[in-house]
Amino acid sequence: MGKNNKNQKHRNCIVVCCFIVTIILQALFYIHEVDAVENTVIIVQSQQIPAYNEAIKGFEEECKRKNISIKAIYDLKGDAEEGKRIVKNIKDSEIKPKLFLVVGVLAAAIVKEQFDDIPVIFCMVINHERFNLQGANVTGISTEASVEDQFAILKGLLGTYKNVGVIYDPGKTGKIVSEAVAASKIFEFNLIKSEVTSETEVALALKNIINKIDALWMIPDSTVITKKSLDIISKTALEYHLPIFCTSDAIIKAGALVSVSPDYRYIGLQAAQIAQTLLSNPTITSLGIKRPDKLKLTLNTQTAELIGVNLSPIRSYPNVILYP
Amino acid sequence: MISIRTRLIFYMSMLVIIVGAVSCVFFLIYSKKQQEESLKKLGGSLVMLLAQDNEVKDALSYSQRAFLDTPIHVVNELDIEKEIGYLRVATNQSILVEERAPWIDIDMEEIPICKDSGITNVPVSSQIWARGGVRVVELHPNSNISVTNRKVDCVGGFFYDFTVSVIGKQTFSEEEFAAQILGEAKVSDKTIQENLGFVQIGLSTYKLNERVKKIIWRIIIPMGLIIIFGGMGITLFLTKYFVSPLRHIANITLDIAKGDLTRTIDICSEDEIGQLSKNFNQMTTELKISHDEKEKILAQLRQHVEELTKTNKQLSEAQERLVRSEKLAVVGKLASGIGHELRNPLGAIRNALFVIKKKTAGINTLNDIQKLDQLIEIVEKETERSVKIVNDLLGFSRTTKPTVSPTSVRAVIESSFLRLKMPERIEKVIQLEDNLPLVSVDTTQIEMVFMNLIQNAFDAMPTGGQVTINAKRENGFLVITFSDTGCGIPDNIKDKIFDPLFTTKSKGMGLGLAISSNIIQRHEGFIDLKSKEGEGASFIVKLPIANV
Repeated sequence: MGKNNKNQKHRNCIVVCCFIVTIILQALFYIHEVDAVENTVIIVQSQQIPAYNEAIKGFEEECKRKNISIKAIYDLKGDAEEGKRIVKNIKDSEIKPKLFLVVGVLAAAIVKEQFDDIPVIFCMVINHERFNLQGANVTGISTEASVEDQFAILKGLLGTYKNVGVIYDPGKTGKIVSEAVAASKIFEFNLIKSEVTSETEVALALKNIINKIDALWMIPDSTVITKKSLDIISKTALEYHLPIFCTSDAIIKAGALVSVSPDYRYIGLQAAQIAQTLLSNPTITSLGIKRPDKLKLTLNTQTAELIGVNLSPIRSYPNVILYP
Repeated sequence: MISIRTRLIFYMSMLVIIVGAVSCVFFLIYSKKQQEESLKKLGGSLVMLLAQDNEVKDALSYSQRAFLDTPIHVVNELDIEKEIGYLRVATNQSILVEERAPWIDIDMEEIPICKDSGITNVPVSSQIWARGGVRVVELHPNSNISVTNRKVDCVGGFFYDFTVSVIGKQTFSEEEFAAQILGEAKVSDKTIQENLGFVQIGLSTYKLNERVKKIIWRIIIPMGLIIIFGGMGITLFLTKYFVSPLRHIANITLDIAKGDLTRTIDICSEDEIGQLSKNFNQMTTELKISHDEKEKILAQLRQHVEELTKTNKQLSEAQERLVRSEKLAVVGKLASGIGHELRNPLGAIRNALFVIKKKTAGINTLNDIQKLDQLIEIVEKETERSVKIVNDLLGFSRTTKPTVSPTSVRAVIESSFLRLKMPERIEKVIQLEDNLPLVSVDTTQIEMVFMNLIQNAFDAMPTGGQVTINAKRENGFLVITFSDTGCGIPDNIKDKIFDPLFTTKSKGMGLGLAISSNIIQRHEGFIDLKSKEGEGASFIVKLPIANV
């Protein structure tokens, strides 16, 4: 009799435990669902390149600290058609993210086109002004340092009253050059402009101004900076002991002297902070275009030696990286 | 009547022929389509090979024909079957190369050129050919470059025309530029592309048609024949397999219908035919039992009928004998009375005549004597005759039981002839078997019978003829036949011939055959007559053989 009662008690205990476990699991699932709906962020990157990955890495680290959940990272692999399909699938899915981080111009253009009701933060878009990325739900982080910041470093290196040459395609970077013209007066530079419309004109344009300038300022213009033209520019500049000032580490590796560029990881971190702001204030959907908070200065000591330029005036600047 | 087997073979053969023909047509269409597809693939591959060749791109970029020699040579080498009919490479402004195969008589002016051959990723159904032709666009599976494929009909024959734009790279995409600016050397596939010109290749359908013909002769026709004959063979086999048992059953049924109820069907399968055979055998068995019972009953009936017929005949004979016996008895009694009454007066008359004859011996008057002698002679003759008649009557009435002893028939026959006067024109023939058995008879009575029969034969042949007597053994009797060549006995008196007092002679009492028949019956023998009017008569006497 006593044994039967004991078994009955065991069975009751098991039933109660199962019931409790079921309720807990359902509660967890519900909480998870709520959390997913409330705080999910989707990252879309144009392609797999280290700079993009570094920015994403910075974003992820900061999101962890700020309890922002990253639902997924999509890679468009540089393919517009593929990218459209992926973004369309995201759009068609039932659970929508609260915010998009888009890395690269392709991702930015496609996501902005598909979503106008979800905040979008773009970064790592070179010359973002060219791509009409403004929007009520779009916040961006520029990939270039401001012309003023660049000229300040240039002035520190070269001093004042110097002739600075720039080759550009007016259709692509005319606006930057216009800003630079205004800024050059402030920094007492004489900006000598040379316009090109195709890659083949670059060599001739350089030849035309090379004897008139003390430094060549290379802005991120896709007509001017190509594999072929970069090679020509680098060789010519070395030949004429002309320092090249630019905004890309890659061009430093090709032979430029100084570059002012953002810290890509920090751009991600900065994007996470913006995301936190947007997520915590649903009424705010855009914070406009932000400049990168942290810049780095890359110096090519090898080129400096070759062309006989003393880098000591700017070597003491913060975030200096020496190459090689 | 057309048999099931013939109809089955006919219908199945028709079906097989239809199936074979449809299979051949289907295979022909499929093979032709496959050949066309492979030709299209070849054309697409060759044209894409040219279009993607860097030397071709350089040639088109700089309008240098010299760069095209090597790639065109490579393409021609790859065209193992020599199916390229013509080839054209052109920039957007001018044609760099136009070649045609030497074995094709074609004017390159006839081959249409696409005005807008360089457009990619754009629907081209609305594009117009400069010199005619219908254009079909297919997206090459390995590229986003469209390959146009069309059929060109001109003097030199039919051609599959393949045209593809040659695309050159103009500049980096923004993403590639970004990758370069941001420090990554990887080059993206996404590029902005420029149309440099087009490559056009025409593949002749001549070799394709040759291959299709080969397929028809080497594969399709043999396949069709194999299907048709194989199918017909299988049909024959199956028909034989299924119909033979039915035919076997039909043959056995025919035998059974003819009355052979012993036939059975020895099919032991478990299918419907097997079941039919079992049922049929069962039915045949039951039919046989019924038939046997019926035969048994019929045999019994037949036996009864035979017995009845025999009994009836015996009865008729007995009745006839009885009537004859009664007649004989009556005649016998009458004869006995008449004979007895007439014998004594006739004896007295004879005696008186003898005395008269003695007493008149002394009379000398010659005339009286002669006259008296004649009268006496007449009276004596008639008296003798009357005595004989009376003796016959008495002999008939007093027929005694025969005293039988083994006797030789030959002796009795010869004795009978000796006692009779043989007429001159009658020939006697006696044909007796050797070693004839003795008969158990009363010699005197049988001799009287034989004499009577021989005398009757003599009487039947007044103008001469032949009397034949033969004897032979038969079933315990000795059969003696007395035949003459006389006028025969009419059918209407045959039945009365053995009756007493029936005669056809002018001088006779009609007792001879009656007495003979009576004697033979007393000897447990038989006497019978066979005669036809005008062909003589035969009396057959059967006497029992003596048990010696």
